[in-house]
Amino acid sequence: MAVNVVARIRTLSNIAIVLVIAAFLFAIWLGEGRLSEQWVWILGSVAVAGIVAQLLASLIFRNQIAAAWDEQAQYLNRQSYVFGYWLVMATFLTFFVLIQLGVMRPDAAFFFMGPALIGPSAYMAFAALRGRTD
Amino acid sequence: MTLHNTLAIHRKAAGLTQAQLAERVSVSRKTINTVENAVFIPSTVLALKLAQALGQPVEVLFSLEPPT
Repeated sequence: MAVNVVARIRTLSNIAIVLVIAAFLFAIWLGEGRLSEQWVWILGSVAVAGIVAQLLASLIFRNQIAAAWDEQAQYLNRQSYVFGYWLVMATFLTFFVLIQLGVMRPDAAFFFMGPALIGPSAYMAFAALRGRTD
Repeated sequence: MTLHNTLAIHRKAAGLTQAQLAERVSVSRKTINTVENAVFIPSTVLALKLAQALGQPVEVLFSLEPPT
């Protein structure tokens, strides 16, 4: 069975950024909140690499774009943004309450809003693993 | 409301795999699979493309009532 390279690289990129962010949060937890600067470069590099890989795959395998982004993939993509919006909203409201209670500093809240942007990638990765898309 | 379909029946009758039918209508094999299993409801355009690809009226492939 032929693999849709464009779809497969999209999925791998989403899984990669999800895993890296999870590792990042785990590293912070292990380090008791202290952050190594190298993580900023790791996160950014994985995100940029995923974008570049998807762009190159789309340029090289143009005939696979239509199937990779068929109506189900487009539907899932829209749903991923809806999920991402509500995830960020819930995170923001949670942090707001924690700040008001004095449990969290505003600069820490701002910092941890970044990983909350994982929503769309996580949704698409999960959809692929469930067999909804390649 | 569930959309019932006989897509798999007519696809197999036409001697096509899911991948082959997917290629004919420019979607992924996963989409054909999820349509057949009633997990994903196709758009009107895709339903018409599938009907055209299989040489069947669209109402034979998709219906609001369970197939008899």
